[in-house]
Amino acid sequence: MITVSDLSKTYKRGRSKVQALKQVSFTVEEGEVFAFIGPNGAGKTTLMECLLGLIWPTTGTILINGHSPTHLEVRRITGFLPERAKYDKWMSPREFVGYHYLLGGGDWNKRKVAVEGALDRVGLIQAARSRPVKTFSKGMLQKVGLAQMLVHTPRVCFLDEPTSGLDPPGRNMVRDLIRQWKQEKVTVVLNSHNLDDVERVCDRVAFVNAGTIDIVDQRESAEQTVTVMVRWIGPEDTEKRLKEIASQFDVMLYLPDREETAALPESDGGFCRFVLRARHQMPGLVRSLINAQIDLEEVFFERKNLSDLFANIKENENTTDD
Amino acid sequence: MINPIVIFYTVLLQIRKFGKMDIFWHIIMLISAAGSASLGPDGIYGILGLATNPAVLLIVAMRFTTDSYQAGNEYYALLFSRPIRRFDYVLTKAFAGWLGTQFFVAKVVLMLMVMQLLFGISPLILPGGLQLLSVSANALSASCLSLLICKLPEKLSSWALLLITGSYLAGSASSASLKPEGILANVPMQQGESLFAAIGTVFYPYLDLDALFSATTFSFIPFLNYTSNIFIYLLIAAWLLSRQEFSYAND
Repeated sequence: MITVSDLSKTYKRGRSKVQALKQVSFTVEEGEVFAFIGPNGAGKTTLMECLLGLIWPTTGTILINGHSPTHLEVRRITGFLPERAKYDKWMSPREFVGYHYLLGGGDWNKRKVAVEGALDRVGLIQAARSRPVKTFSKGMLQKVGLAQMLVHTPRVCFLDEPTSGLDPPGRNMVRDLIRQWKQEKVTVVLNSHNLDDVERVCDRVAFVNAGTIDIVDQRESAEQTVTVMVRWIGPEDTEKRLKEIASQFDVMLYLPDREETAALPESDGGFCRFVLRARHQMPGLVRSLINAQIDLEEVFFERKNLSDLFANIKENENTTDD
Repeated sequence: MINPIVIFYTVLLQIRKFGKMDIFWHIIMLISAAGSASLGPDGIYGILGLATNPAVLLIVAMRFTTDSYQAGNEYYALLFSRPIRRFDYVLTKAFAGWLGTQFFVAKVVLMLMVMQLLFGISPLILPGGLQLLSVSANALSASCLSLLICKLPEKLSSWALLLITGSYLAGSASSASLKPEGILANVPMQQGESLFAAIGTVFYPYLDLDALFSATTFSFIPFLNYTSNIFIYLLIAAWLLSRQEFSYAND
């Protein structure tokens, strides 16, 4: 669907040159949710702008469905939500979304239905639909932006900080929207600083850092080792039952030394770690713990998440700098 | 090609943008029209001359060609993510500017007609066919020039607008004052006009079809000047827009 090969972008800043992207290559499959994350100034927006054909790469190629991003066929199937969109502030959401519907090649007679449908989908209240957008809050503007993107049912969506300024229901709406697109085989390219959002909805994540990228497959990481921490209050034979459960699930069990347990304030119980081979084993394990009538005080799982990976990258970067 | 959707929404936006300042200007225009009509034919010709002055048309056209320009890169980033060619956008905006100036002139003519009827001036003084055609042609030229100015880098565009409008106004003022019945009747016409009017005509050709066709010796030079300038304005504007990068945000 999207193929990026050896993409480089250099900006001229007066007499000096700044290389924003360095030989970046990756592909995004149809129906995939792909995200860019990274520190400020890493080149995420530059990459997004190159994909949208708004700026020209210095070297390298970008192909979307076999065409350049500036090709009109590509633009017909593309939806874009910028981070800080500027709207014609005298226009109402109905007019603005209608304008973009028609610019995208929509049918004049179906305009009203399409516009109302898009505004309904983003949950913009009826009373606000005829008001000039200059009176809108950031969150409402974000909804208008989303509606202008949705109105012509794009096959490739580029979203830059889509949940920025939205209230919790608005954020959930965006997440649901992305999940729905995934089911409909719509390709989504997301640029976000909100790692929680990215983790919840994305298939693959590209860490953009100093113009280069590292790709992490979220689908694979979901299958990575998960550690379940269990703290219990109860009789001494609990450990025995825990061992039985571990052997039943074929997972590793780490029980701390007696001294270590005694050092804890709640020493009437104990704690242990189950190391699961895959995340999908977790619900069954928790169910077994409950069925075994273990007096559970606390159960939580540890998994390397994007924040940890992001922190590692930053740490490595600092080490390299030193 | 000209995009009818952009035209429709540009005009719609002008209606939406109609604010307190617009009401103020319309009252001023109405008072001017009443004043001109009360002065008789001379006054009417005066206000018609002012409304159809290329410098005035340039400023009117600016409004239709600059609305998106003021919005900056973010606006264009969203616009050009849609299936619209940049050259088509330039052509469309030029047409929108021309349309806008036509509305403006039509409004002035209509106002004068009403005022003449109210003040009982008979017969009605209306611009002739060639005069209206000149206004229409000059409106197109004004629109294309204003579009080019909009596509220039911001600092340069301000200077260009100041230079062209200023030179044209200065040229017009000097020609008007140097008329035989004017206050500087003894100063030769060519000397006074030469500098400002030359700048104005070269960069911003003004066609007076009425004068051209009624002249004893007909010349094609003003037509060539006019068409070549329009072509160059559009070409440069399209070129500037096509090579422009629209970075919508900083990382």
